[in-house]
Formats: sequence, C-alpha cells, structure tokens
Amino acid sequence: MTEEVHTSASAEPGSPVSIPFWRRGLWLENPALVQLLGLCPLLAVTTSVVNAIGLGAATMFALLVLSTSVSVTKRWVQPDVRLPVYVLILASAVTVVDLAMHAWAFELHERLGIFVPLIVTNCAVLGRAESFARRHSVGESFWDALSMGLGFGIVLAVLGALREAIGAGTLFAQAESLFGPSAVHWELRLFDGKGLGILASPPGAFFGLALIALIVKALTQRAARA
Amino acid sequence: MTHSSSPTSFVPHVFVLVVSIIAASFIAQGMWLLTRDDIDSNERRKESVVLAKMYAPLKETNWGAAALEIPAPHGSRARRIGLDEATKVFVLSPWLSPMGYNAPLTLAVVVGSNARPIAVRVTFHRETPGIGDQFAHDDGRWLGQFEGKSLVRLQNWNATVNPQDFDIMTGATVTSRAIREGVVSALEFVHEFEQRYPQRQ
Repeated sequence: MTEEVHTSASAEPGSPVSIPFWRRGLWLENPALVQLLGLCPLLAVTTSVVNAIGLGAATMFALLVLSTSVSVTKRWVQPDVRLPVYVLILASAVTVVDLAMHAWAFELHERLGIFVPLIVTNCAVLGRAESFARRHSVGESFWDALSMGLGFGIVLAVLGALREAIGAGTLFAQAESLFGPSAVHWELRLFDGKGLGILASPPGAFFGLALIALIVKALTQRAARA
Repeated sequence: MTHSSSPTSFVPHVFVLVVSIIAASFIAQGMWLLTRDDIDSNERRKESVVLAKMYAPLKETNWGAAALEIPAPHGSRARRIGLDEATKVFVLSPWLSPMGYNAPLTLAVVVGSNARPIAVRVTFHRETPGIGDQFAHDDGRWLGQFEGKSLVRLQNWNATVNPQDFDIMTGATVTSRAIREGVVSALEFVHEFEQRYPQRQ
C-alpha cells in the first residue's frame, strides 16, 4: 500500500483516494483477501460461522479502538515511540474484549482460545493504524477502521459458513454461545451424515480462502473491463 | 479523503510511555473488576462439569455442604467431598503440576479413600500441539494409566529401570514426567493429610 493512496486530498476522480471508504475495506483493499493479512486466526477459527463472527467482531472492535486512538493522539506521540504506544492501546482493547468474552460469552471464549489475545499481533490491525490512522483525521480513521473490520469479518464469516456447511453439514451451530439463549434454535442442518472432512480440517481453510479470493479477483477484473 | 495537516506538538518520550502504561493498566484493571465475578462463576461451572465427567458420583454432589476445604499449596485447591456417610473422595482441582515443556500444567485429580487416583485430567497446559498434548486427543487413555496406582508405585517409577511400568508419550518425555510428578504430589498431599488427621477419616 503506497502512502500516496491515503495522503493526497486533491486526487483525480477514479484514483484510489476517490473510492468510498466502504468499498476499499470491503472489496478493493480487503485485509484478508487482497492484502492477505491476519491469516493465522482467519484460518484457525473459521471451522464454524459462529466462531468466525465472534473473532471478526473482536478484531473489528480492536481495529476501531486502535485507529481512532492513534488518530486522536498522533500529534503528541513521537514517531520513535509510536509502536510501543500502539501496542499498549491495542493490548488494552484486546484485554477488554477477552475479559468480556470470558465473562459473557464463555463457551465462545473457550473455542476461540488463544486467538483472541493474539489479535494484539494481528498485522492487519497494527498495519492499518500505521499506514492510515497515523496520517488521517479521527473521523476518516474511524470509518476506515469500520470498513476494514467489516471486510475482515465478512471474509471470516463467509469462510466459516463455507467450511461449516460443506465440512459439517450445519450452519449457525452453537449460535447461543454468541447470540444468547434465544439463538439456541438457529442451527440449520443442511444434510445428515459426514460432510467433506477436508474442508473442516486446516488445509480446507486454505482451499476455502483461495476459492473466495479467486471469485473476488475474477469479479473485480470483470468489473474493471466493463 | 483529506490529509490531516494539524500541527504537531510532540511530548517527551518517557511521558508518553508512562501515561500509556498507566492508562492501559487502569483499563485492564477496571475491566477485570467488572468481569471477575462472572468469570469466576463460569470457571466454577466448567470445573464442576469436568469433575462430574471424571467421576460420575460428583455430579450429584452438594459442593457447599459436603466439601471440606483443605489448605493447599499456592495456586492449588484441595477439597474432601463426602459422597455419603461412608464414602469420601479428595478433589484436587486446580492442582499445579511442575514445569511442563512450555509452562506448568494444571491438573484435576480425584483421589479415592484408598489414596489412589480415581481419575486424572489436564485442565490447562501450553504444551506443543501435536507433540506434548497427545494426552488430550486419545480419549483419556494415557491419563487413564494413573487410575488405581499406589503412591509408592508412582514414586518409584523409573523410566530407565522399569520402562514397561509407565508409558511415556512419544517425543514428550518432559510433559509425561511433569504430569506424573503432579499426580505424585497430589497423592503425597492426600497421604500427608490422612496421616495428620486420621480422626477425620
């Protein structure tokens, strides 16, 4: 990602800066599909759509807190110490999410395990603060973080749905662990018996992500030609 | 998209770092205070489910009325549970085991009135996935070898002299030893309690 993409205020129509923030985060600069960042948790927790939504929401919260805080404090934080400060802000946000999940979404917290604390090391989050929030206003940083977080979360959810549907034959299994007791009947059983086991296993995550990236790339090229 | 052109007025390094650390600490501490009761409650519920799976009679136990708390080493907890007038078991959970490959392990050990383990589980560990955590993926077979063994037999076990007496997880000698030492220390604790307070049998 080049600096010019984000720093020019007088860009020509059609140039990257003129693209709406939501389109950049959800599609053109999607952290998971285009920048290929944060793949470790993305691949590890997408065995079900509920896990994926849980981690996606946690990551989006951390991204929003970090980007907004970095933008608010950028005029006081010298470049030399910015990384320790970013990590402290991010660690605080992640601690809040981790403790909240531990207290109020215990089963989901047990399933996500170490991948919630590991958001601190997610380069999709830190990278966005460094490349965007540090150079932009609070409002712009907030909306950019929201779109990037949504983009990352949607990829997680789609990959989780794909793996759960084909790998286990269900959708929204154990939804109550994230959405509360009222979601206990949300589970959809698509077929009986064993699903395609390889999609539920770690290599299946790579296949699934590659498939989604392929479709997105093809659609992007098709739109560019039109 | 506009570039922020606000003037910069940098604050000294140390001040920024100190303020950041203090703020982060307050946030973490505040959130912990807000959630600790719910987290404790969740952990207790999880523990009671694990213990009931380890030893079915514990499922019906009234943990408040039937349990005698025994002062345990720091980080561990020991209780003696009266299942009925005649049957008492010791529940040592959490029970800290010595250093594993990456970190100390936490065990749950149920010890019968004959001072032999009824069931052993590892409730927390940081062992290397696929190598040191084999005990978690074999339906309890490896941990099952502790059940019914006497303290003396476990104390005297020697991998070199009696390799057939105890199955070491392949490639995970340190983890195997750490779990065994944890179980031995739990049995020693129970043995010492029974020696010291025989009238409480």
